[in-house]
Amino acid sequence: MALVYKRELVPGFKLIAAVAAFFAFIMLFDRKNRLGKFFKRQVFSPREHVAFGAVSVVFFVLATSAVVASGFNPFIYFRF
Amino acid sequence: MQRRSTYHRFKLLWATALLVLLFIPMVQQFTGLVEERPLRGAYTLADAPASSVANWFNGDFQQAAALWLNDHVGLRSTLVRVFNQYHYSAFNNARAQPL
Repeated sequence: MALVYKRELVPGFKLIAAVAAFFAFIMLFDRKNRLGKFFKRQVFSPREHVAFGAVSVVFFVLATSAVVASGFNPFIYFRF
Repeated sequence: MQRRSTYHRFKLLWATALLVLLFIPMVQQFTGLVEERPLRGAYTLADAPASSVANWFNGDFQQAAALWLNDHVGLRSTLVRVFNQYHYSAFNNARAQPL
């Protein structure tokens, strides 16, 4: 009897993989280095600071909610 | 020079605001400032860990403390609702346990 193991993808895997691939390889397509110059700037306008801060807050809330909802266990590292 | 000083103060204010944001769950856990609606459904919250030397060295205290912290983190009900709604809205997947 052959054992067949079928693994279903976690919901949202394709979307997250696409987003990860986009951010991983975006610089390959940035021939004129526009993105690099943008993020290497020393000074950002207050509006840009607010925009970056708002994005940071959104990601922080989503990440914290994911950790809380999934039952994060920091003591798994105590088992060595 | 005046404009640069204002910019520096603005950056400092933003950094402080983000740091304060990091402390909100802990403040809520210890003070209970915000009244939250409890989560609906059948579940039991973990009991506080019993602290003893034996429990500490055999690992029972750590496991019980981890379970207690997971169940009593500040704003837990709200964060669980946010995550479930985000999961449903983004991936069309309900995170409720199948009966």
